[in-house]
Amino acid sequence: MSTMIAVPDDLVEQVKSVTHTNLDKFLISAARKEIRQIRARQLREEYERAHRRRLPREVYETTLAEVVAFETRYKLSSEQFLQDFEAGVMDEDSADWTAFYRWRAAAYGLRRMEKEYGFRREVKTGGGQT
Amino acid sequence: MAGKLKAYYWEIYALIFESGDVLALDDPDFSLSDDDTADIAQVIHAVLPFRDRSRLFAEISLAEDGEAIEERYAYIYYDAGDRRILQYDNRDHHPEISTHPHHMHKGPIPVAGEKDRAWPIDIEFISFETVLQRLRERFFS
Repeated sequence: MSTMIAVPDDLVEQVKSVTHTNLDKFLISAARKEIRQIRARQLREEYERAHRRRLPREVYETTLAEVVAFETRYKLSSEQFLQDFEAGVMDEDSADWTAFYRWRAAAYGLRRMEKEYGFRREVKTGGGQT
Repeated sequence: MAGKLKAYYWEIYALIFESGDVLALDDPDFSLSDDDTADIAQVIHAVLPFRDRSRLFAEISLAEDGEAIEERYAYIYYDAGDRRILQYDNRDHHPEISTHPHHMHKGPIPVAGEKDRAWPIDIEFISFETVLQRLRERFFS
C-alpha cells in the first residue's frame, strides 16, 4: 500500500530560502520521517495488543536493582557519583567504558520515578545504602 | 504524562528496524530497552551490532519539553575489534568546546591516566536518528 505525503508549497519556499541547497534531500528525509511515524504507530499498536504493560513499580524495582549494583561495585552513592561524573571529577571507568553512562541513566531514571510516583528506597539497617 | 516519550521510543524502534541493511538485527548482542522503561523511567538503552561487526552503544535519558528531547545521552561506536571509533556525549565537563555541552571524542579509549581529548560535534544536532545517519554516511555508503 502506498502512502501519500503532502508538502505545503510555502514550506518548500521557506526551506529553499534558508538552505539554498539539498532541498531534495530535505524533502526525502521529511517524507521518510513521516512514514516512520506511521510505522511506529503500527508497531506500537501491535506490541500493545500482545504484551502486558509493566507497572511503574516493576520498572522502579528493576532500575533500583541496577543502581544498587553500581553503588556496591564502585562503593559510592548515586548522588555523589552524579555530582562527580557530571562535573568531570570522575572520568569513565577505563575497564568498563560504558558503565558510568548506564549508571547515570539509571540513577536519573530512579530519581524521576521517585518524584513522579512517590517511590522510596527501603531503609536498610547495618550501614547499607538507603 | 509521557505520551510523547513513548511515541519517540517507537520512532527509534521503527528506525532501527528499517535499518536492517546496515544493522545485524538478529545478532545475539542486539539489545533495546522496552517502551515501559522509556515511558516510566524515561530511559532508552540500546546496543546495536552492525553487519560489519562494529557496534553502537546508546544510553539516553529523555525529557519532555513540548516534545521529546534527549536530555542526556552517550553514543559510543566501536569497530569490530572492540576499539572505540567515536563517541558523542553531553556530559557537562568540557566548557571549552564551542558546542558545549555537546561534544565528541575520537579514536581509541585512552589508557588509564591519559586525557580523552574532546572535540566539537561534527553534526548539527545529536539524536538517535542523526547519529545513526552519520554512521551510515561515514562508514556504510
